[in-house]
Amino acid sequence: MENDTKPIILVVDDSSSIRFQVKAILEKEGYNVRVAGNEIGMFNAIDEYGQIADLILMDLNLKDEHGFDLISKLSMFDRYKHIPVAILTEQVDRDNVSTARRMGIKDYIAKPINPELLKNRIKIILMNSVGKAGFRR
Amino acid sequence: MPESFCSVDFDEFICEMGIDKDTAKELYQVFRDELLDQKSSFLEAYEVKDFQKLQKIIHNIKGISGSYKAGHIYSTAQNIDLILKEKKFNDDSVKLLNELVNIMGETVSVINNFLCTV
Repeated sequence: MENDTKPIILVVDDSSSIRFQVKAILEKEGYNVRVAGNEIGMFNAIDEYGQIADLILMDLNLKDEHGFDLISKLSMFDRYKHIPVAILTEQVDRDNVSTARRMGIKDYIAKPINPELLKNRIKIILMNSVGKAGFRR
Repeated sequence: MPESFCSVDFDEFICEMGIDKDTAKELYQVFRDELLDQKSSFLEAYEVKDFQKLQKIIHNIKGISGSYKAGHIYSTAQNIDLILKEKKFNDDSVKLLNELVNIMGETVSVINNFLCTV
């Protein structure tokens, strides 16, 4: 059961190792963490228990989809388009970074995962998101 | 093959993650299973010469092995990734793919040993 005072982070990654690892890192920081491996999972998890995720951590190199396509699909819904998104990927190249910038992505975090860096970057994104200064109102 | 050839830095992983050994074991079990899946997937992709799929899989192997401190898988995957990116795949690259298969197998054994420790 989620603690309703803590931010909810949705991790979308087709790698189970990464999902479990990120979940372990972020839950230790007190966040509520949901995970999804594909588009269907993402749309199921984004809006669970009547509470929408506060941040999405998105992989780009998904099995049958591209992370940018999923972000575009999310932005078609008024209910979800305000959710900040950060990319977590091993695909760090100029094209992807500039596409991310154009799409209004909040951060671009490179794999392999550095737990300390990940925690700090997420904290900053959440602090900068209106009304989500670390904890839900 | 010397033990260090396929080392996994469990201690560094545990330290960086700030977790206990039991939690690390749970995570490494997931990582091991995914490595086995990825190994079959990339062999399948290579068999049908689907280099686009192969690159995607190698990318993923690189990402997870780096995150789980499996340094030898990471560096070999990184080399293959570069070759595929530059479209320079040749007979030598096949040797590198075979090397990756061996390293992945050895790493799975190292992880299995870690899972049996108390």
